[in-house]
Amino acid sequence: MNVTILCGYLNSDYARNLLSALNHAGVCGVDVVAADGDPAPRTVRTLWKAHGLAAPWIVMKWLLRRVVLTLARFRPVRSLPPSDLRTQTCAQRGNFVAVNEINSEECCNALRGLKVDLMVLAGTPIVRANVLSVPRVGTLNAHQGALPRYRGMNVIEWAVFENFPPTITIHFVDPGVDTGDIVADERVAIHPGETLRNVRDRASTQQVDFLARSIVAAVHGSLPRRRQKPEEGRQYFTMHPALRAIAESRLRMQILAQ
Amino acid sequence: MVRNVIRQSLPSSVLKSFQRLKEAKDLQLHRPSHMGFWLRDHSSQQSNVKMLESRVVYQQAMLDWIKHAQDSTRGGGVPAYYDFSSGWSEAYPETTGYIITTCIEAGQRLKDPELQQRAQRMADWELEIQLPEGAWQGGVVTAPRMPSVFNTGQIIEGLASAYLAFGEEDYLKAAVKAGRWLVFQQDSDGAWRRHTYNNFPNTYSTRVSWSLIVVADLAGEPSLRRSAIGYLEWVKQWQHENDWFDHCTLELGDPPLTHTLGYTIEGLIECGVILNEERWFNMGRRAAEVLLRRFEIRGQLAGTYDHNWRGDFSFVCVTGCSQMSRIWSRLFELTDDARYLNAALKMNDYVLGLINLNSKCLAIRGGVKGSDPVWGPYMRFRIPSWAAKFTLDALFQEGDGLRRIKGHSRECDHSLRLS
Repeated sequence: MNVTILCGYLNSDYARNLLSALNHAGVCGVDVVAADGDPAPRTVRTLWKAHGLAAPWIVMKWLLRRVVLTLARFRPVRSLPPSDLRTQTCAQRGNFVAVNEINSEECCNALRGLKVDLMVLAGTPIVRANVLSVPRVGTLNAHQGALPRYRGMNVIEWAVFENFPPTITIHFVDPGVDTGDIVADERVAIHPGETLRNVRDRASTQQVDFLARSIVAAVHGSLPRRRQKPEEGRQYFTMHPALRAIAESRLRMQILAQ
Repeated sequence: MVRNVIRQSLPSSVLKSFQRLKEAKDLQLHRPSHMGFWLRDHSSQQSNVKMLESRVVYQQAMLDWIKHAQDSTRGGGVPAYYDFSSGWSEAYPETTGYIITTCIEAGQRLKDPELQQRAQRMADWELEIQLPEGAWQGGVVTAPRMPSVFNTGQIIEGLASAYLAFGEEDYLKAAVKAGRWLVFQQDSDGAWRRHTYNNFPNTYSTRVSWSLIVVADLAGEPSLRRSAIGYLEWVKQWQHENDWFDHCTLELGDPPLTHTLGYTIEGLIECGVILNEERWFNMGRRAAEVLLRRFEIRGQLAGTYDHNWRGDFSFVCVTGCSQMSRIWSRLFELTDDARYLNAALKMNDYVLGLINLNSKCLAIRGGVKGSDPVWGPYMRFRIPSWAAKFTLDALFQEGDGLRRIKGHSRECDHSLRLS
């Protein structure tokens, strides 16, 4: 089975950790497609809206970076933009492909070229249906929330806020927001003296391990799939600092109650 | 004639520059306070707005702005707006009506007797200018005295609050008289077609229904309640499957502003709560959820939304933002779903970040502009009084929500607890 990791940055730590975990589990030859994470600003208007008076400085920085990247293309392959992820992928007998944008036709073509069976998301923006349709088996993702109940963003914080145990779910990705079939879930432990940040950091480590185990299971057999109904659960959004402070205090209460 | 020849011979770009200069002169942009406001909107774009002070400071600044606005007119009414070119407008009966409620609430929360006295002066002024048939006029007080359904509905809300706060029967009597006039103007299908803004029936008068039900309950007048429900039944047919409301606009053919959508949604939710009927509540809640999702994904609400919920993001209707914030906090109070309060908190951060706290001009300091940027089409270069009112309401409701989460909530004022 051809497994490919799709990530939003050339040097994604998430992808590197996942590769290491897979290597540790004896899975080699995993390909990586990474976006360079620096898309061109689309219009002057959007630039102005996003940055105001700082817009010219942003444009200059972006131009400078593009010049450096373009010049780098004329050098031998070994000295292309430095990427530990590239080195690691090649060392594990996989192919590394850099694309400009995740949702572009360029990315779809790269994935088709790699003949992807199972794609794994490792820190990407929302992936569109055209990219999701390429892998033969499907696309896996680790979500830091219990599905279907907690969809969307900051769901570790939202779970703590609602006195629900923080959970990681491995699921297949469909064009909805965290609405694909569920593969497995696992709770994140809370230890005395922890803050939300600690819990989130540990969840990030745990999800890499959990995702790697799911990939190994997929490579050696097939994964269970539990269908979600779109109307089940809620979509959450970024939590406001005032509510985050309340979630922190609730976390302390939960630790005390343990 | 020479001027015309010159005008025709100049390229359009040069003419446009001259027009802008003329506009700058009309808007008195040479005044430092106006220029500061204008420059700030040029430099800080919508997504970069940040709050600089605590909510209490903004709250006090807005209340001071309302006090200053009231003092700028004779009689006790509050002006419609401060205009960059013409200054304070005349007193506006409609918005003075619902500002009464906000002043009373602020007075009670902050234990400020001056605000209560001001609210009473506003209510007394409304009694003075009530038309013989019971209605109130549309437009500012110096406009032709033509009765208006929506404006009357907003004023009776204020009078009902004044009656509850001060116990004077005259307020209730005036509200009931106005309510009877509203019943008389209603068509058999429930719609109000006469004495409406721009002479077409609208769906944002759900806020009139809300006021009518409140007065009906206070005065024991079932006819007012029946009339309010009749209108809600009429509105029901105008909600699309995607939860957007038809006829929810100020100008026929234009997409609705978030301001008028806010009126409709708030009216439906509050009617649902008082009548204990989930269907009205759910009509409002569904539309509020659509706007919440759009706000959370995009980070801002558009000025208007068309029938496919496609937004016009060239400007933000700041009043509509505050109304939606108040509605979301209220939905949190009624459903315990903290996502509503989360959106309300973010929206309030944005709106408060637009308020100028440092201007030496008292008409600008603490005021909430109509559009962001200030040259947006809604209340262009104006600071409307109702924007401050709705922002204060949003802050009060947000405060209640946070207190509720922390476990020392005020009692919910209605029995309905919807899941």
